[in-house]
Amino acid sequence: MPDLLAWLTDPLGYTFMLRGLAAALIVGVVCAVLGTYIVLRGMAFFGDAIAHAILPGVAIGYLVGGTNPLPLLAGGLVAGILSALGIGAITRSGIKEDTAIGVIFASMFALGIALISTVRSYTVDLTHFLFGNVLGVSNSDLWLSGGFGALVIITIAAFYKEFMVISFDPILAKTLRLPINFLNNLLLLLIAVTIVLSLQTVGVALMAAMLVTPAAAASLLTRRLPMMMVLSAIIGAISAIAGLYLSFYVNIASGPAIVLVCTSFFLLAFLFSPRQGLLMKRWKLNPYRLGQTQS
Amino acid sequence: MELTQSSSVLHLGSQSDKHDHSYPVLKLKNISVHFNNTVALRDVSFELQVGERVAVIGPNGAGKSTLFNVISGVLVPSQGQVDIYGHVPGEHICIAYVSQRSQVDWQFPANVADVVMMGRIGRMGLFRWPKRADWQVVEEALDLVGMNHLRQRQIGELSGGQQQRVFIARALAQEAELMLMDEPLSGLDVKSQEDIFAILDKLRQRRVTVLVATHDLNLAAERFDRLMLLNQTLLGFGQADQVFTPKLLSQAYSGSMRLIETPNGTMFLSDGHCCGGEEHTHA
Ligand SMILES: Nc1ncnc2c1ncn2[C@@H]1O[C@H](COP(=O)(O)OP(=O)(O)OP(=O)(O)O)[C@@H](O)[C@H]1O
Ligand SMILES: [Mg+2]
Repeated sequence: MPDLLAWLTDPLGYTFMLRGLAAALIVGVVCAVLGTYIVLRGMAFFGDAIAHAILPGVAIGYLVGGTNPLPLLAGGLVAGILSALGIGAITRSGIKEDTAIGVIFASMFALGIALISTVRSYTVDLTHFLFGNVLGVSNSDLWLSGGFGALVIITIAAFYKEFMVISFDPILAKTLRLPINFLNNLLLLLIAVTIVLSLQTVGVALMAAMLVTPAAAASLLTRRLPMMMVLSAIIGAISAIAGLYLSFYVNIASGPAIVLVCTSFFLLAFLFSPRQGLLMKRWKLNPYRLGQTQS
Repeated sequence: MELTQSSSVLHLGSQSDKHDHSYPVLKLKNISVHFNNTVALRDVSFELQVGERVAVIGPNGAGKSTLFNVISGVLVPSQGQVDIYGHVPGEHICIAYVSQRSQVDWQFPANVADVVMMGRIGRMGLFRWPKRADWQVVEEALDLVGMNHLRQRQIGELSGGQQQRVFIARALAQEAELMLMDEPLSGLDVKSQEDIFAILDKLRQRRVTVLVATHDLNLAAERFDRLMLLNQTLLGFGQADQVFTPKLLSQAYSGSMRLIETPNGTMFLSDGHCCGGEEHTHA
């Protein structure tokens, strides 16, 4: 027992671990809650694309201000919003949305890498942007993520019902006179903000997992929206913390560790969920069992 | 919302006092709708009085759904004006619309009661959650359509007729004064159709104005106050005997309609364009 306690508390002796845990927790929860709408609206590919498309903005922020978080954040946000608008504009011209996403996503990503490659410490910096560097989180980073994370959660709490209706039934949204364009744009803005504040924890390449996997796991476990959000947040939070411990003890990169823990939650739900789980379905369809219940 | 006085929490049409009664409940002036190069509606004008039950009939592609989309504000007409109690639709939430093919996400994590509650969110503010009174309205609406026993059921696990009734319950929960129903009867068996008419009767008691699009000309003639015959233009609007004339019907259905004159003067009609896969031959 004392060993287990020490196992849990030892990492907390390091300030970088404490800050990393706090950052991962914020990112895990915010991504998971917002991710519920992303999953319900089928925007997984869009989220992944915006995550990659912020890279040129982040790169410019980095070239201007180094590791100072504000220019990074501002640059990433501007690039994310411009990409979302670009995707919208191309889609309106009659091109399919996923094609538009593919075009914007790859070109912005290429531009970002091109910009970062002008710096001498190219590979290290790029790795951090791609896969995160949660143990390098500074105090000011933490405050910024905390502030923006709270803003995202409060906005979702305020517009919870409206986002639900535009996701479920756009015609009802119109007859109820909801400001549909405003709400859609607000959701895009929330996605961009969340991606930028998660940059340091998981990096752009793995962002989609944080946005989609906890909500996908939660959707297998419940059929009510509020419960789905709560479960998603819990799965996101546990994955963030467990992933960081895993990375500490097994000595693997922290971003991938968090994502892998998250994926194992999804697999567990996929196999064992009482309603939709693969194994439960098998078990229910088992001819021997059916024979028994009938006799 | 004041919810006292009456035994019923569901105050359908209860806010009519906020409206100016010198106006009809709905007034369309010279409405035209073009889609690229097809004309869906041309120069449609009419007025509805409070509490009327009107059937909208016409062949496939006549513009019935388009008309409802315009009235509900889902579609902006190319020309013309829609007045609801003298207001433009964009400023009004007292219309409920049960659309022909609800393009909803059937896998959405919501049960029957959650979906009906969505009808009330226009009445709540930001950060507000449903109150007891809201749940009471939802329950009463579900009772009215006979779906209360299934209120915990996942929305995707209902039959077509049950889904239809849930959307009607949601329209009731909106406490609308004008209800648009696009083919609520098609695909339903006779008993379910009668259930819908029982709901329509209750709506009439509450002075809710109802527009129903249908392909069932017999029901249209027997169960509605007025009929609106549509085929791009408004061909006729009035009682059954005024609208079901050989001239108007052949204009609307141009050949695809069989008119059989019998010795006692009764006319048998067949809307050859029927929906929902059923052949309607009332002969
Ligand atoms: N979104 C759209 N884009 C282009 N044309 C459309 C659109 N919606 C409807 N139309 C056209 O407008 C006309 C009227 O269609 P509408 O759906 O209103 O007919 P309807 O009377 O409801 O027919 P049904 O009985 O089959 O439901 C049709 O010719 C249709 O092809
Ligand atoms: Mg139609």
